[in-house]
Amino acid sequence: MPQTGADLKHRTDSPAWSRQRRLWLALSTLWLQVIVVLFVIVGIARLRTPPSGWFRKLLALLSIN
Amino acid sequence: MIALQTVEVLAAVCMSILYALAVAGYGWLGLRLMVNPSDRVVIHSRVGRLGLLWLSFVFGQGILGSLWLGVAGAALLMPSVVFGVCAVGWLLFACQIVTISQELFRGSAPSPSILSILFHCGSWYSWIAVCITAVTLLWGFIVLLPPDNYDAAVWYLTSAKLIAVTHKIELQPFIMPHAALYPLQVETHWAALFTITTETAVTVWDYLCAFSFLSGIGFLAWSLTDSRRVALLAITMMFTSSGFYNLAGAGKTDIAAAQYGIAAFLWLTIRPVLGRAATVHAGLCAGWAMAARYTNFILLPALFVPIIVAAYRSLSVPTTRPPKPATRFVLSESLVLGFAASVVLMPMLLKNWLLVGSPLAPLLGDTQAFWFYSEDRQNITPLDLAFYPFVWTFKYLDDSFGNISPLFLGCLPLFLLYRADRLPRLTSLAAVGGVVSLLSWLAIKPLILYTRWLLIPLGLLTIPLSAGLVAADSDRSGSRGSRLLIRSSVAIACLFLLFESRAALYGARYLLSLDTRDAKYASVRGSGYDVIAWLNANVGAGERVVLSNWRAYRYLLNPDILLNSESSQELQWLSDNAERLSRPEQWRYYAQQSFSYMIVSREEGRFLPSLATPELGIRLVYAGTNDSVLKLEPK
Repeated sequence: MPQTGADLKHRTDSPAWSRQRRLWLALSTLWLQVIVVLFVIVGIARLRTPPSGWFRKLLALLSIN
Repeated sequence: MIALQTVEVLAAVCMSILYALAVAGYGWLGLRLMVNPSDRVVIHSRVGRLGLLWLSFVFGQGILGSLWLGVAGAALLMPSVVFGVCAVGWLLFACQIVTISQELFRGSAPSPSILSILFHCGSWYSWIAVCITAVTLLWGFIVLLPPDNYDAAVWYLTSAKLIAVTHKIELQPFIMPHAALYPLQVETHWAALFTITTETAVTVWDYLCAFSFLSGIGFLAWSLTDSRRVALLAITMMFTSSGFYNLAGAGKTDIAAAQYGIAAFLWLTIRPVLGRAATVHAGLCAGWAMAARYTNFILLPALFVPIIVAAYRSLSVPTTRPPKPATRFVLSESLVLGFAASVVLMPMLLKNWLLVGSPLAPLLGDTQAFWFYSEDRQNITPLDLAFYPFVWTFKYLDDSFGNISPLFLGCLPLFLLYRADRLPRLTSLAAVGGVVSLLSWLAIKPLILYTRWLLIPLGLLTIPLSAGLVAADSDRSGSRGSRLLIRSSVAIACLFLLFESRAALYGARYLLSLDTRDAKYASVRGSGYDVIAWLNANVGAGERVVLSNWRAYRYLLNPDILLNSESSQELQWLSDNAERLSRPEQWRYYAQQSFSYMIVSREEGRFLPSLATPELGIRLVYAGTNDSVLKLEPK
C-alpha cells in the first residue's frame, strides 16, 4: 500500500525513528571528525620540513637579523 | 627612512585597490545600462548592497577584460591608455558611491552585508568568522611575496608581462606551450597592471579576485537560503581547500575565472523575479568564464538546471495567460544564454584566428604547426576513479596544486541525512548544478583531476553541504556530543588553515624589506634563477639566446632576451626538420641565425664543448646548479 503523508509523519515521530536518526547523526559526525583529523595528519606529514625543523626555522625567523 | 622595496610594495597594493575600484565603476555602469532601476531593487533585496557591488565588480572585470583585449590587439596597451581608462572608472565608481549615499540619505531600508553575514551568526559561528577574517588578512601578506608558482612564473605571468612590455598581443613564440593562444580574459587585466605598476599589484589583484570568488559563494548561498550560517560555512569550506588557497594570489587564472561561473549561477537563481535580463547577464558571465579558461565549459550544463526548474515552476504557477510550453521556454532561454556567451567569447577565438589562423589553437588546428600543443595530462588511475572523493581529498596529485577541503567529504553524510530539511532543500539548485557540472567533466576527462579546473562545481557544492552541516548543528534532537564533533571538526579545519597561512611571516618580512626578491628566487628549487641572473647580467643588447624548451622561470628573464629568442619562423623550421637534424646541425642552424648562447642541462654542459667542429666553437661560459650556458662561436 502506498504511504500517505500522515503515515510518514507518524513514522518519523516515532521513538524508533528518532533513535535511528540520532544513531545516524552520531555516525555522520564521527565520520566528519575522522576525515578532518586524517586530513590534518596527512597535511602535516607532507610538510617539506618536519615540524621540529620548521619550529627551529620559525625561531630563527623571529630573531630578525 | 622607509626602504625602497617597502615603498614599491605599498604603492603596488594601493594601485591594485584603485584598479579594483575602477573595475567596479565600469561594472556599475554596465549594470545601470542593462538592468532597469526596479530590477536593481530586486537584486538589492536578494543579495544586499554589497552583493550588488560584487556583481558590479565581476561584471566590470568582464567588460574591462574584453576592452583590454581589444586595446592590446590594436597594440595600444600604453600606460597613458590604461590610466585614462582607469580614471573614467574611478569617476564612475565615485558616481556609484554618491548614488548609494543618496539612497541611504533617502532612508531606504538597510540591507544585510557580507560583514553581517560573517559576524552576526551566533557565538560559535562568530568565532569561525573571526578565524576566516584572520586568515584572509594573513593571506593578504602572503600575496605580497614575489610569485613563485611554477606555472605562473613559466607561462601566465610571462605572457602578461610581455603583453605590457610590447603593448600588444602577439604569438609570443618564446613561451611553450604558447600562452598567448590560450584564453586571456584574466591575463589582460594583469597586462594592464604590469603596464602601470609592478608585479605585486598583479598578485594583490589576483588575491582580490580570490576574495571576490569567496564572497560570490557567500552571496549565492545567502540568496538561496537566507542563512548567514550557510554562507559562512560555504566560504569556510572553500577556503580550507588547499586547491583554492594555494592559488589565491599565486598568478594563476583559475580563481579569477571561476568568479564568473558563480556570478552566472547567481544571476540565474534570481531569474524568476528578474526575467530575461538575468539570463543575458548569466550568459555574459558564462562567456567570460570560458574566455578565461576553456575548461569552464562544464559550467554550461549546470546553468541549464535553473532554467529547466524555472520552466517547470512557471507551469505550476496559475496565471491569466496560457503558460509557454516548457520545452519552448528552455529552448528560448538557452538561445539567449548561448548568444550572450558567444558574444563575449568570440573576441578570444578571433584573436587566435588572427594570430595563427585557428580559433581553438593551440589545442585544435594544424597538428604540424610548431604551436600545436597536445599533452596527456592524466594524473589519476581508473582505480583512483572508484575512490574519487577520497583521492581528491587525500592523494597528492601531480601538478594539481592542492586538494579539496576535508569538509566536503566529511559533510556528505550530514547532507544526505538532512536532505529533506528546509535549508538543504533550499540549496537543491546549487547541489544539482554542482553535480551536473562535475559529471560533465567526468564524462569527458575522467582521469584528469585538477582542483583548479573544477572550482565552479566545487563552489556550488559547498552550499548544500554547508546547509547539511548547519541543519545537523541546529538539530535539537541530536546529542551534545554530535554537536561537539561537528564544531570541533570545523574548528580543526580552520586551525589547520591558520597553520597553512604561516608564510604570512615571510610576506611581512618582504614588506619590511628584510628579505629581498633575489634571495627569494635564489632559494626556489627548479626556478633556474642562477642561470637567469647570469643571462640578465651578461647577455648584451641584440644578442640572442636559444631558450628552446627550457622550463625555468622565464618570467624573470629580461624581456629583451625573450623577445630576441627563437622566432615563429625559426621554430617552425626546427619543428619541420626536427627528425632529420642531428644536434651539431641544429647548433649550426642556431649559429647561422645569429644566436650567441644556448642553455643545456649541467651534465650536457660538461661534454658538449668537446663536440665543437672546425666551423663552430662551443664554450661553456656558466655552470649553474641544474643548467649551464654555452656560447656558440662560429669561426
